[in-house]
This record gives sequence, C-alpha cells and structure tokens, in this order.
Amino acid sequence: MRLSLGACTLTIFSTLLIPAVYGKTSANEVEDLLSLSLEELLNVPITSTAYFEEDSLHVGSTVTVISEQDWQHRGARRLHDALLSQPALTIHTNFLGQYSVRIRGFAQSDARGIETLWDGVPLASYHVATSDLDRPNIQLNTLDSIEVIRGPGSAFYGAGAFHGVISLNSFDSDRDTTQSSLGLASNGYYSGAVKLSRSIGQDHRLNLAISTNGQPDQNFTYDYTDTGSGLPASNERDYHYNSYTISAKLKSDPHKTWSYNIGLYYDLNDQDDFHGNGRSAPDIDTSDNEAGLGMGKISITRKLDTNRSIEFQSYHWRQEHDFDRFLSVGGNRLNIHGEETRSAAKLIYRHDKLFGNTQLGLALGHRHEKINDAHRTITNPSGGVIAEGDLLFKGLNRTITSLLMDNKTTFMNNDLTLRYGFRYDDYSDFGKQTTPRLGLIYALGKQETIKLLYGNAFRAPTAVEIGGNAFITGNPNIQPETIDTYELVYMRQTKNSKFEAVLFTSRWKDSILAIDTNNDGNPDVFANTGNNNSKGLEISYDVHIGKWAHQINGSYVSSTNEDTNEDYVAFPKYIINIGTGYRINKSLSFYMQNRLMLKAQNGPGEGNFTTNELPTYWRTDLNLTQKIDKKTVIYANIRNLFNRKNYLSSLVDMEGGARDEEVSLEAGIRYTL
Amino acid sequence: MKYRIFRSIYILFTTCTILLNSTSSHAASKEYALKAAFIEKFPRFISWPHNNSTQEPDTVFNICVIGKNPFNGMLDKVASISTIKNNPVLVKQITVIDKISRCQILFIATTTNDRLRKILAQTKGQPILTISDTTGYAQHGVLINFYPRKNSIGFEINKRASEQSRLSISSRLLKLSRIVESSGDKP
Repeated sequence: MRLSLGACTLTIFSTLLIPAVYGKTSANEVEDLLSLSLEELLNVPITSTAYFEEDSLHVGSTVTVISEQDWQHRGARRLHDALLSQPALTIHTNFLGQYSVRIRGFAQSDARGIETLWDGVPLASYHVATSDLDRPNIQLNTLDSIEVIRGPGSAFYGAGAFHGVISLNSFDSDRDTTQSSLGLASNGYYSGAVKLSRSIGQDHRLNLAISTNGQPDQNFTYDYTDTGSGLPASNERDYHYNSYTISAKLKSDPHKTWSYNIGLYYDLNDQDDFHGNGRSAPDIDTSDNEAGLGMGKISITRKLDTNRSIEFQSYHWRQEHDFDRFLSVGGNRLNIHGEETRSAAKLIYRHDKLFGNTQLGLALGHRHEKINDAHRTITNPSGGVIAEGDLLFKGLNRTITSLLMDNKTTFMNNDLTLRYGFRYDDYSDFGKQTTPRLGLIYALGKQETIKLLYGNAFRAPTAVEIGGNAFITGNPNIQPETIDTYELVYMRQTKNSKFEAVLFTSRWKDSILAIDTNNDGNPDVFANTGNNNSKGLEISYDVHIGKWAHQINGSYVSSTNEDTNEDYVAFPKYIINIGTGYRINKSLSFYMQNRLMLKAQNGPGEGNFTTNELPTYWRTDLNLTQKIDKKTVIYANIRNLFNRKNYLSSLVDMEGGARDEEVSLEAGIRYTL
Repeated sequence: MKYRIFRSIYILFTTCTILLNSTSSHAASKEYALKAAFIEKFPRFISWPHNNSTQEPDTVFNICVIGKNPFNGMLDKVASISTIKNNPVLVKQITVIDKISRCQILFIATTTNDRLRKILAQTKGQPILTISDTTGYAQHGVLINFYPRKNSIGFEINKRASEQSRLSISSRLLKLSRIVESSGDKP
C-alpha cells in the first residue's frame, strides 16, 4: 500500500512538473546575462567536481552547487541554512548545538557518514565520523560556494563520504578586491566579514577572508511533560553562540610550469544552552559546546606538458572540543574534552587526453589520525567532581594508505561518456577495502543527458564505536558497514532552464548502530545491526523568464530498516522547496523561499520512545536586495515571514520535535572596493 | 515481494517514459551564453584605432567565428538585441583565413597549432580582438582567452598581443583579468 501510494505520487509529481519544463522556454538567458556588469558575469557560477572540470550535464554524481548568491537570496545566516533548499536533504538540530545532515532517509540518532570537506580536506573526525556538520559554523561569509553530493562519494572522498558529501569552497578570487559586509537582526544576531584579494608581484596572490557571527540569549520557550507529575511544563533555552572563521591562502600563477597553493584555516565555535539529549532530562535539557579547528594545507603542481600534470597535496589539522551537558539524574553535568589530529599526503597524476578520449586521474595517498585526548568529568550542581577519567579510545590511532583512480572516457563522438574508478584503502586496523564507482552518461542532445550511476561506499568504525563513550559500550569486534547505490538521472539544460530528475535506490549493509541489549529501552552497545534500504525520486527545475527566476525542487524518500521492517520515520517522506525571485528594476530585487516538509514523525522513536506525526512544516523566507551604487548593496531578510510554529524532527526524540526559529528581520550592507 | 518489484518497475517505466518523450533542444549551454555576454561586454572597454570601421557611421560591427561554432545561436541572439559601438552587430562564420580582415572580433575555436599560427599571423598588427576558450591560446598570442575558474569563468589577457594589435584596453578590463605573457616572452 505504501509503495502504491509512492508510485502514484511519483507519477503525479513527474507529470505535473514535466510540462512546466518544456512549456516555458521563450525567455532568454542571454538577455539576462547582458544586463549584468562585467564584474557580475565573472561571478556567474558553473559546476566543477572531482579531478576534472565538468559541466553539470556530464558530472558523474548527483551534485548541486550552491553559490554565494543563492544563500544570500535565501537569507542564510549559518552554514546549515544554506543547505535548506536541497531535495532529499534535511537538517536536524542535535544536542551540543550541532546540526545533523541526513540525506535520502536513514534519519536516526547516531548515523554517521556524511563528509564535510573544507577546500577538499575531509573534516569528519576519527572520534565520531559524525554527519553533524563537523565544524557547525564555518562562516558562510568566508566561502565562495558549497557543493552537495547526494549519494555515496567514498570512491573519491574516502570512507567518511558514505551517504553524501558537503564540500565547502573558500573565498578565492583572481583579481584585486576588498569586500566587507555587516548584518544585524531583530533577535540580536550579528555578522561581520572582510574578504580581500591582492596580487603579490606578478605571479602570486593572497586571498584572505575573516568573518564572525553570533547571537545573544534567545530565551526560547520549549514545552515538555514533567516526568514527576505528568503535567505539561515549560522552560527556556538561550541558543547563544559566537563563531569566528579565518581562511588565508597564498597561490601562484597556475599557468606556470610550477605552481603552488598554501592555505591556513581557523574556526572557533562557542555555543551555550542549545538543546540536550532529548527526553532523558526534559526540565534541564540543555547542552554547551566549544569547538576549534586549526588547519594548514599545501599543494604543489608541476605541469609536465599541456595535457599532463603531477600534484602533491598535504594537510594537517587539529580539532579540540569541550562538550558539556546535564545528565538525567540530580542535575549533574557531564563534560567531555577531546583533541584529535590528522595528517595526510597525496600524490596525484592527471592526464587530460590519454588515447585522445580519456581523462585519467590517479592518486596515491597516506593519512594518519589520532585521538590525542578524550577525558570525561562529571560534576554535581555545586561544581564538585563526582567522577573523572580518560575515555577508552584515548590514544587510538589509525593509518590509511589509499590508491585512487578516477577516469572519464568518451565514445560515439562524445555522446557516450563512461565514468569509472575505484578507491583501494589499506586500513591499519581493518585491512583492505576496495570501493568501485561506475557511471554511464549518454547525451540525448546537446542539452540533454541520461545517466546510470553506481556507487559503493565503505565506512570503518569510529573510535567511539570501537572504544565506547560515557553511555554506550564500544565493540572491538565491530565490522565496517557498506552501501550500494544505483541512480538513474535525466538532465536537461537549456539556455534559461535546468531540469533534473533522479531515481535512486540504496542498500546499506551491516549498519553500525547503538542497540539495546539489556531491554531497558536505552541503547547500550555498538553493533553491526543488519541491512537497510532507501529509495525515492528527486526532481529539480530552475528557470529564468525575463525578470523572474524560479527554483523548484522536491523529493519523495522512503527508507526502511529491513530487519525490523520499520521505516525511518524522522525523515520526511516529501520535501518541496519553491524559490521565486523577481527583479523589480536594475537595482532592486526580491526573493521568496518556501520550504515544506510533510509526513515526518517528531523523532526516530528509538528505545522506549513513541513518536507522533508532526504537522506540515512550512516556512517562508523573504529577501530584498537594493543596489545603491556600483560598490554598495543593502539587503533585508525576513526569516519565517508568517511566524509559523514549525517543528522539525528531533534525532534525540525531543517531545513534540525541535521547534524551528521564530520570525526575525535582518538588515545589512555589503561594500566592495 | 512480487508486487513490490512490479511497482518499482512501474515507477521506473512511468518516469522514464515521460522524460524520454520530451523533445530535444540544441540551444546553447549556460557556459556559452555567459561567454557570449562577455563578448558583448568587452568592446565597451576596448578602443579600436580611429581609421577602423567601428568609427564609421552606418557600418556593422562584425563578430566572426573561425572553426566549429560552439555558441549555438547565442552570439546571434546578442547580435539581434545589442549594438556595439553604436553599430548593429553581425555574426559571421569564417571558413577562409584570408577573410578575417573585416572582423572586429574573431572567436577562434579549438584548432591545430599549425592553423592557429596561420590565423594569428593573419591577425598580427590588425585591430582585431581575438578571443578563444582553449588552454594556452593566450600564451600563443590570442588577445583574450576564457578559462575555467572554480565554479565560474574567468578571462586572461595577453597584454603584449593587445599592444601589437593597436587596440587600447581599459585599465578596468585589465584589472578584472589575469595577465599572461606570450610563450616567447618568457625568459
């Protein structure tokens, strides 16, 4: 019955949207582009992925590029806001102020496996390999674009990219510029940023971005049922944070025989009084998190000839965090301090014209990661230490040696493209693993392609899954989990529109989850739990018609645990995003974004918790942008325009779900020298 | 289980049928729409010598393409809605190298090194704005060459080639570009 409903929905969805695609092609993108200045033309985005520059028609995965302009239109303040326009992707607030990304279902409390890359460097930690955005608040003002890959990316990005990839591309200009911005909102939110690009001599360039944002106490009311009296009660959380991000990059002319890129990155995020671990202590359900990351990166490229190059890449990062939250009994607090380092080096050989029709990418990499510190302290309400000690995974380390191949061969006068590759990893603790990738892309015309993609991914257990944490016992015998994904993609890109439909099915095997072995309703040990599947449809359609721009997408996703035959109910069955922009005149424009999520429960319903269906989530955001002169832009954003009381699924089973933000107005200015 | 398989096939079949029945279009890609827009913009920042036909009334501004035209009508669209230097725009496909002297802009599609040398020999010293989108062509002497940047398109300018062509390029355009040298200029 469920599938029958899904089939009908897919049919109706496709039927309704397809005529819209082909019925509105009279407008002309050239006209729109001609109205832009030279500077604006330089910022019009096109897609890039992996080792080769590719247009979106021929890219070998389901990837969306979110440009700076896109998230500015949507009034995004923090990193997760910029992702809210994606189909089959949800953001859930999690305890410790983290934002958990779930892609194509599988919404449960502790699912891992979405990699966050910062200028290509993977940040998913050895500690938890979390799919919570690993640096929860890398500042949008320091980024040029975000690429979102839905589906496994392990064959290219490694084990962290199990369900998907969030790739952050930092500010990088090829011309001298100084940009500054300042924003203030009615709820006390503030943001400020400076971006600067300067040539140094003839062949070198410095790109620097510094940004900060934050908000004061929000005194945000939440409701719960008192565990003692059983009566309704309420309390407040502050949702207070301050964040800072810096990226500084020095690069040389890439056209020279030798070229280099050196980058230094720093991110600090301090969050207080975000929600805690759900319903275990609802009257004091708050948590704090202070996390920092410092990173250095270098790459040196040697051009061998016009078609061949060899590149050496290396990076080192260090993460440090302090998690702090109430425990369920007696108002005691738990603090976990952790430190982790990772160093990696990679040698990449590229050949753009092998045998005339093949692009070849070969890489040999080595990486070492270590949990330097993992320390637990429990204090009573008066601050006295009740218990203290190192966690079992302190000192764990792992090395991974990898061989990677990513190829593209074209046939039939470039109408048929074969994408193929694999990744071979040799783990110091889990032996050898190969993850293949295969894609067949056929051009139906110059603007249309149909793709059949296969991806396999592998994820080795994390330090926590092996060594345990304060609540859940580790399992030294735990085995890696794998996922196979098949995608059928149709894409059509005309001069003023882009349409994409993706049918996908995934099978996730030997999934690593925390399970309840003593039947007390609380998970107590990590284990390989069996198989899961996910299937669905994603449709997106962007079109520009004269002064109008529309960006519409939607998804239907059904994901199930095959062993229990239970659906992952915290992931909405349907997501619909409708964005509409209108250019009133050359200097004034508005953009309205609507996001709807339907058929989701308030939480995954793990352990003893029962769940209820949430009301339809419907949020409307409005942006107004006014260009004052060539250098100055002012803007106003209203988030949750109609102040709807929206609730999101809570991965920690908060009663009634996690309340979304209230209406707020932000005004700001951007100035470019 | 059997019904689940049938339903999955039904979903796949229905969606594919709808998608594959759509008509095919050969309009230009966004990339070339963008490049066409750049080409329309460039002359605003470039001065042609006074004796060039761009200064004469009732003349046309010729944008020529030599080699396989990748614009798929995008340049024609520019020509139909824009004027350049107050002149109507005409897009010409050039097949014979000798015919390029009447071009104000010449877009050079990817070609062999030999043919590129011949084309550039023909344009040398002429007030013709040569444009390409092939790696290394600016170093060979093409005046403006598009190159892919992270998620967008940039352009590089061979300043020495522009001086030889007697075209005067504004500082604003130079500032937005990446300056490259001819291969022969390198020490």
